[in-house]
Amino acid sequence: VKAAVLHGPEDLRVQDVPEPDGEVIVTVQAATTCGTDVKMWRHGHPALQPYPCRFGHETAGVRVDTGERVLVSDSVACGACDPCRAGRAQICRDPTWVLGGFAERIAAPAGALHPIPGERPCTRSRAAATRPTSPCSAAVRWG
Amino acid sequence: LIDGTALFLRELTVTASYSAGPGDMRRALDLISSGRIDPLPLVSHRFALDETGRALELQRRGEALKAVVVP
Repeated sequence: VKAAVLHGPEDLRVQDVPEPDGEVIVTVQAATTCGTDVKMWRHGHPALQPYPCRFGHETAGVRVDTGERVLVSDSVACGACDPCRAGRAQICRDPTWVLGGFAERIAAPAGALHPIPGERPCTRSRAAATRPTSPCSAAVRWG
Repeated sequence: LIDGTALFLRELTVTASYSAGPGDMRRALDLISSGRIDPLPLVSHRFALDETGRALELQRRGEALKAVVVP
């Protein structure tokens, strides 16, 4: 499959990579860019795997196994740390990151997937933009 | 910049938000799919996968607010 791969700071190459291997394979329909992607591209990031590595964490697509449209979360919380046990998974201390949305396909844990209801108005671009919307929703919840 | 005096006098609350848990994702999806919130105006550019680097360059320069990469 084709994927955007970081080989070092500011060294991004779109290239063929092996088929992703993981719990669920998702065909990417849309992946939005985020300020964090810019940081990852320019300087690297603690959440990245060692180079060469894939990135992109605001992803919407279709499950290969069921054909269901899904939103791919950027991470799965550990469920065991203090924030998780306090019901604040959004600040989990030890999340499993799900990166690699800038690609034709991505592998993700089932726990990272959220079914996208209906076709409209939840188009692929809107669905991918759920990730930047969700912290706002979280802020409203906690505020 | 946040006006500390205004915060104090009006007893305002500032809430920071780092990320989102599964429940927040579902709530955000509900808001979008029900049409109550439309994030599409945030999307300023669309690119093919081959142009991911260009998408990030525009975002870095502040020319793109949100770019969508469509593989």
